[in-house]
Amino acid sequence: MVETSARKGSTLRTLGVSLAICLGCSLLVSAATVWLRPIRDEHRRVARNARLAEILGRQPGLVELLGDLATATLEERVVDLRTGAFAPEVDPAGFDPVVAAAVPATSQAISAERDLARIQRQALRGVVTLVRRDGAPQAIILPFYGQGYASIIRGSIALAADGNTIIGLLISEHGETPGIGSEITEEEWGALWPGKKVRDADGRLRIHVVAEEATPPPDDEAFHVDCISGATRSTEGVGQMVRFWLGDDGFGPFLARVREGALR
Amino acid sequence: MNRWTTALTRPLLNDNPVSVQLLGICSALAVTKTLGASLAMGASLTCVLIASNALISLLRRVIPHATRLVLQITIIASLVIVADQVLAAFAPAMSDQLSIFVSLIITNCIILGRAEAFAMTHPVGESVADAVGNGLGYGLVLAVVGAVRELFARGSLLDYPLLPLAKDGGWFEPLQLVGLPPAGFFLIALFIWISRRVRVRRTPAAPRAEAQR
Repeated sequence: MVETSARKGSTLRTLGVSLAICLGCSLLVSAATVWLRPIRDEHRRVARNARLAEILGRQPGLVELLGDLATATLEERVVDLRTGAFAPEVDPAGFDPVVAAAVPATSQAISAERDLARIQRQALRGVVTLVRRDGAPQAIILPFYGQGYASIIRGSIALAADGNTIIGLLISEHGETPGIGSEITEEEWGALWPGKKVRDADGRLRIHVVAEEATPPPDDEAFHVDCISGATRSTEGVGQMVRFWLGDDGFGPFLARVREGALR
Repeated sequence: MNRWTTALTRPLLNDNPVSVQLLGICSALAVTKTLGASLAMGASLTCVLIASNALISLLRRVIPHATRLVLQITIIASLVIVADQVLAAFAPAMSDQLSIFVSLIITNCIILGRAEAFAMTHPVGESVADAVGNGLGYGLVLAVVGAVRELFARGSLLDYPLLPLAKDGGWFEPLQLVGLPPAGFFLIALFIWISRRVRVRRTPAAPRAEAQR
């Protein structure tokens, strides 16, 4: 009898002490988290601004457009790709487009005939970077990616505040054949993009990369980027990605809103 | 020597947690790329170890025998989370460099080992001295390995350039291998060998069989 009750008591005591220690530990962790959160958030903000400034400095055309980058402000926003509206409920700092494109709940399959970028699935949201000076929109940086000839190519394209004029194109990541497909990162090819228009006056998506056309439409020059001979597959691949991501399945709805003045 | 100084100095060389007890090897391999990272890791581990030894020693009569390991790990895990957050808040660059290895202090056998083997049976003061000794012993190995690796793989110490690199017009060609994780293995092995030779030489009274082992 005595033994059982003693054992029972010791079980209770074990449980009680264990619980108390666990509670104490969780209090300690919570207190540290709450106390340190503002300091960590501040570091995150600084680190993010530094990263954004770096993106801005690397994006071709922006330095020429803005002159002094220090006076420009950068803002990352998450956009709902289907409606083109901002999705203020999603924090861009915590949004990972790669994960979003892989998780079923935040992505959708792309039918084969629409899949110009050859990525099979796309995220339902995307991150745009807005460049402003004194509050006035100066440029919009849009990310793109897709299958090139030998690899996934990632990059970003900067558009003017009209949402239609290309400022510059940056290839940030690729694994194309060195010396051949890798030419897509050359300045010479990148320099063909600035000034090109994405859509014509009727709103049709016209930007494209092509070797040569039998009978180009008379106004083709403004929408046409030559491909690099020898790297046709890689360069045309980039062209298709750009068409996909600037088109109706990509940031097209967002750009339509921009043209209507959504940024002002 | 009194008990406190013994608890403090034994783990430095004669009973070093890394080179003698072979504990905490994985983090010693991973973070010893540079002297700075080694020192930060050694300091983080020492702080966690001091706090965990002190807390567990304080609670040693309260902690039920049946759940002691679970409770020790709970306490250690909480302290590591706090240490990780403090580092992220006040030294974010270092925190990025050490990345996951700060949180992995939880699984560092030295801490649970000292809690179970020492703090559970010794008063607070001695437990703290033991923690300082073991933390410094761990940090010492890390610092030596980190210093050698940084010097020969990057030609610098604490990011201060000492050997002019060939690519910047100097004469020193960095040894790629020393920068790779396996070099941690070789250097820790060397450290173990040297420290054991020193230990044996310093104890001439030890029986021959012991010395030859």
